Amino acid sequence: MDVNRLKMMVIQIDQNIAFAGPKAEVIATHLRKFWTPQMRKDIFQEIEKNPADFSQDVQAALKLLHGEAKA
Amino acid sequence: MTLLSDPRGVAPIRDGIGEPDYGTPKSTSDVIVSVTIDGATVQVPAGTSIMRAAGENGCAIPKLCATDSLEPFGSCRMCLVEVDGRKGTPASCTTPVEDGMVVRTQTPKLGKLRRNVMELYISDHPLECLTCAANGDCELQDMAGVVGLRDVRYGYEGENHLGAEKDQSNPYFDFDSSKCIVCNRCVRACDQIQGTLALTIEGRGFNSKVSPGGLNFLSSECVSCGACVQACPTGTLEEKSVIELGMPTRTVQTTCAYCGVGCTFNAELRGDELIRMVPAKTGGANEGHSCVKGRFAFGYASHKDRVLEPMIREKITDEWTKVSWDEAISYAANKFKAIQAKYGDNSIGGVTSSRCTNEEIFTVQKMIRTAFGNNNVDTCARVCHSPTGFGLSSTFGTSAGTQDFKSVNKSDVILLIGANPTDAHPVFGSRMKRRLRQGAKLIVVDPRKLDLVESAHIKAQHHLQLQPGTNVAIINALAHVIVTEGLVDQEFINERCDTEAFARWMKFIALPENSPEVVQSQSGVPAQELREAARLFATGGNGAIYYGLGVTEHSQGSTMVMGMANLAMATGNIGREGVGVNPLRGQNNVQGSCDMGSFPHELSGYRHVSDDAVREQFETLWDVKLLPDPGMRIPNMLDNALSGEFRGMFVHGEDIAQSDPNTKHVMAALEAMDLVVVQDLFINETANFAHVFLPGTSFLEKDGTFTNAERRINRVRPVMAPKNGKQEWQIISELATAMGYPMHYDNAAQIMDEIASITPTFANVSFELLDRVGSLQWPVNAAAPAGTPIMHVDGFVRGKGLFIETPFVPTEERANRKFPLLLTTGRILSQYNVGAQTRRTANSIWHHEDVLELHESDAQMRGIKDGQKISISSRIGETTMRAKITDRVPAGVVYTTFHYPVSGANVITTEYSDWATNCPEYKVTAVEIRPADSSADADNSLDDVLMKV
Ligand code: SF4
Ligand code: SF4
Ligand code: SF4
Ligand code: FES
Repeated sequence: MDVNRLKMMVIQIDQNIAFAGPKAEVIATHLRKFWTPQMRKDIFQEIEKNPADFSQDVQAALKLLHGEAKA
Repeated sequence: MTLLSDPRGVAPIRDGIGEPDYGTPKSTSDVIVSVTIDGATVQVPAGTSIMRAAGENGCAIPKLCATDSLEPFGSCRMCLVEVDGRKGTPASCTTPVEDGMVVRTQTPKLGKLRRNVMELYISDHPLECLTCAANGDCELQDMAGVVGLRDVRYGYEGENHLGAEKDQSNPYFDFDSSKCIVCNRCVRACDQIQGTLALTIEGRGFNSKVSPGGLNFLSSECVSCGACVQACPTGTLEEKSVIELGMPTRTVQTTCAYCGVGCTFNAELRGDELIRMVPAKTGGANEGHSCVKGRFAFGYASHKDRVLEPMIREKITDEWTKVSWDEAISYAANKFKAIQAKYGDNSIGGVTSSRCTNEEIFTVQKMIRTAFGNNNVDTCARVCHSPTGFGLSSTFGTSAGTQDFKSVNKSDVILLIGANPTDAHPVFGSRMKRRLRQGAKLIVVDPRKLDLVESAHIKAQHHLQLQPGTNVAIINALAHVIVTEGLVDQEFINERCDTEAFARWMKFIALPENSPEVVQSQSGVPAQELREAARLFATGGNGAIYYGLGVTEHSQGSTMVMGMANLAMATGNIGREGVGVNPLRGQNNVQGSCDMGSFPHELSGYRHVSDDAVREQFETLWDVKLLPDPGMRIPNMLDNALSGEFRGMFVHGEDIAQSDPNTKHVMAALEAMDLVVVQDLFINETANFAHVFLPGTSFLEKDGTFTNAERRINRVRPVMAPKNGKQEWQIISELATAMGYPMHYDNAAQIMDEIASITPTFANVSFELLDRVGSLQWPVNAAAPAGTPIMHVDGFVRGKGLFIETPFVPTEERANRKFPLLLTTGRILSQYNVGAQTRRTANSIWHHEDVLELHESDAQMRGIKDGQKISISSRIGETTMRAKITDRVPAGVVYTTFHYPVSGANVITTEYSDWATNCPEYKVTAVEIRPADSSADADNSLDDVLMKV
C-alpha cells in the first residue's frame, strides 16, 4: 500500500487521538482495531527506515504491534 | 340535476385503498371520558372530537373540511350534530367530547341541514363525476351520497367558478380550481404538515379561492411535497398519474428508498402498474407526510436506461456482451477465483450499498467473509457516517442515534449542526419546523445560511456561521462556557457517567484555548454569540442535537461526534424524550448497512472481528473459518489497486467513481483492477470500469427491510416482480455458491431470521412481527420486545457515559494564496446524492444543474457575474459550473451540490479524511474560481436534462 498515505494516516491519528491512557498503547489499540495486518507491517518498515518522521508515541505503538505480530 | 355518487360511506374510500380518516387528530390525553353517541356509550380520551369519537366507533359523521391529519377548522357545516342540553347544532369536528355527553348524529333535522349545505356546494361544482379523474376517490361525491342528495334546486345560471383555468405547471399534479370547494384543507396541510405556507385563500366569500402565490404552483414557494394533494377531498388537486392512468385498485405498503427518514408509503397500483405513492398515516417515521422524492420521483424504476440483462466484457474498452445469468455469474466467480489463485486471498473485496435492503447487505458481507475468505468488505457509509459509529460507540456504547423522530416534538432548544433537514431530510425537517413554530429555540451551526436560519414563522436564535473546518473548535467553546459558567448537570454526570473521565475532560475543556474568545479567531464566530448560544442550550429546557454530513465529512469528523456527545452528557440531555444526539443519515439504509456488518472490522451488531466468542458463533453458523483481523477499507482497496496488490472488486449498488473523493484517483484505481463487478440499475460512472454488470432491482421490486436514522426497521415489500428476473440476494447467493461457498435462501424472511439469530440487537425481529406491528426500532430483543424508541434511558449501553477529550486540530486543507476560497458541499431537496435516480425523473425541472454559490465580494473581485460559467480549481482538479451570487455564504466560502456528474464536484475534492475512520473531508476544499473560457463549457441545459427523463 502507498506508504505515504499510511504515514499521513498515522500522523493524523497521533495528532487527534485523545483517549485516556498511555498514548502509545492508545495508538496501538486503534491500529489493532482498524488497520489490516499488512498496513501495520508496511508502516513498521517505514518507521524502521525513517524513525525521525514519527513521534515517540507512534514509534512505541508500532514496536508494540510488531512484537505482537512476531509472537 | 341528478347526481352520481358513491354510497359506501366515509372511509376507507375504496375497498382496500386509502386509510380510514377519523376527521380530527387523535387525542393524546390519558384521561378517559364516556360519551353516548346514537345510543351507544363509548370511552375515548378527553379532548377527542365528537367526530372522531363517533368515527372510531363505527358511526362516521359526514364531513368535508375535516381530515385527521389537520386541526379542525369548522367551515363546511357538514358535520353538524345534536347534543343533549345544548342549543343549536354544533360542528362535531370542532366540538370535543365531554364526560356524560349524549350526541345524536343522524336526525331528520340534521339530514336536511346537511343536504342543504351539500346542495350549495354542488350547485357550483362541475357534474363530470363519470369522467372526473377523482371518480371513486372524491369525498364530495361520497358525501352527496351519504347525505342522500338527489336533486339540486339551483342551476348553473348564476355566477359560478366552472370556467376557472387549470394550473398544470407542476410536473406531478394538476390544480383544477373549478372543482374547488374552498375547504381550506390544502392551505392548512401546507401550513401545518409541510410548514411551507405556500398556499393562501385569496378574496372573500363567493370570490375566495386557493392561490399558490406567484404565477402558478411551479413558480411559487411550493416544494411539491404532495400534502395538499393528499388533503384535498375533491379532484381539484390531483396527481397527473391518476389523471392519465386512472384510479388505482390495490395497495402494497412499502418504504421510500431515498433518504434516511424512511417514510412509509402505500404504493397504489392498477393491475401491475404503479399509479401513485401515498404516504401512510401509520408510517412510524412520517405519519402520513412525504417529500417530492418519495411521493413523486419513482419513475426512474422504469426508466429506459435501466439495464435488465447481465453483461460481461473482457476489457473495459470492449463493447458489453449480453449473457445469461449463469454465464455472468460463473464468469465473475471464475475470474475472482483466478485472481485469488494468482495474487492471494486478500487481492479481492467488495463494497455494500446503503441503498439496498438489510438482507441484501447481509448476504454481500457474508459472501465476502465466506466465499472471498477475507474481511475486505466496506460500505458507502464510509464516506458519510462512519464517524458517527466511531464517536457514539466510544462515548455511549452504541453506533446509532439516541431518539425517535417524534422526540423533537418535546425539544425546547434544537442545536442543528452541519445538516439541512428541510432539503436533505424533508419530512423530518417539516416535523422540526412544526416544533419551532410552536416556540422551540434554534441554534444553527453552519457556514451557510440555511432556510431554517430564517423562513416563514421561523428564525434561529443564533446562527453560528463558522469557517468550514472549525466544528470542533465551536463545540469545545460551547462546552467551555457551560463548564466555566457552572451550567453542567452534575447530578446526571454523577449518576450516569464515568466521573474520572469527566474530571479529565472538564480540565481539558476549561483550558483557555477552548474559550469563545480564542475560538472566535479560528472560526469567525463572535465570542459573545457563542456564549449566548451555550447558555441557551444548557438552560433552555430539553436540548436536542441534530447533525448531518457537515459534522462527519471532516478530518475531525469523529472528534466532533464525540464533542457533541460530551455536550449532551454535560447538560444531562440524554435518555428521555426531547433530547439526544441524532445523526440525520443520508441514504435510506445507511444505518442498516452499518448494522449488518459492512465494515471490515465488524460483524453484524457492531461486534469486532477479533472477538473470539463472536467469531465462533458465526463460524459455527456459516461453517467457515473467519479472519480475526480487520480487512481493507474502500480507500485502502483503491490505494492497493494502484500498487497492484488488490485486483478485483464487487461493487454493490454504489457509484464510487462519482461519490468518492478525488475522482481521478478512484478511476485510476478501478482501471488498474483485473475484475470489477458492478451490481446496479444503470450503467453508472463506476460501471464504465466494470467487466461484469449484474442488473439490480429497484426498491419497488425488493423484498426486505431498511433501517432508518432512528433505528427503525421498516418493511420493503415488492410492489412488482423483479424486472431483472431475480432478487439481489439471490444473485449474491449464486455468486457465492459459484465461488465454492454454498449459499441458499428460499426468501428474504429467511435472511432476516439468520440476522436475528446471530445479532443480539435484532434478536426478536422477523418479517412476521414487522408485518404485524408495522415497524420496530432496534434493539428488539427479550429486554425490549417492542423495540427501543429512545436509547440510554436507564443507563448507557456501555455502562457509564464516557467523556473524551476533543482537541481541535485544524485540517491540513487550508485556504492559501493559490486557492484562497473554501468550498463546502451539500444537497438540494429535489435531487438525491449523485442523482442517478432523481435525474431520471421530472424533479430535474427544479434543479437541472449544480451551481456554485458565492458571495458578492468574491464575485466582484474576480469579475464574475451571476449565472456566468466559472471554472473551479483545487490542487486536485478542475471543473466548471455556473455562478450564483448569494448572501447565503460569507465571503471566502463557496458552496455547491453534487448531483450531476457533469459538474463533478468530486473531481476537486481532496484525499484528506477523518483521522479515525477515513471518512473523506468533502466539506473543506481550498479552491480558486475564475470566469470559464468557452471551451470548458459543460452545459447542462434544462431542455437537455428533461430530454433524458
Ligand atoms: S405540494 Fe406541499 S409545498 Fe406545495 S402547496 Fe402543496 S402542501 Fe404546500
Ligand atoms: S383545492 Fe381541494 S383542499 Fe384546497 S380548498 Fe379546494 S377543495 Fe379544498
Ligand atoms: S423524506 Fe426521505 S424517506 Fe421521506 S419521502 Fe422524502 S426522500 Fe423519501
Ligand atoms: S367537517 Fe366539520 S365543519 Fe367541515
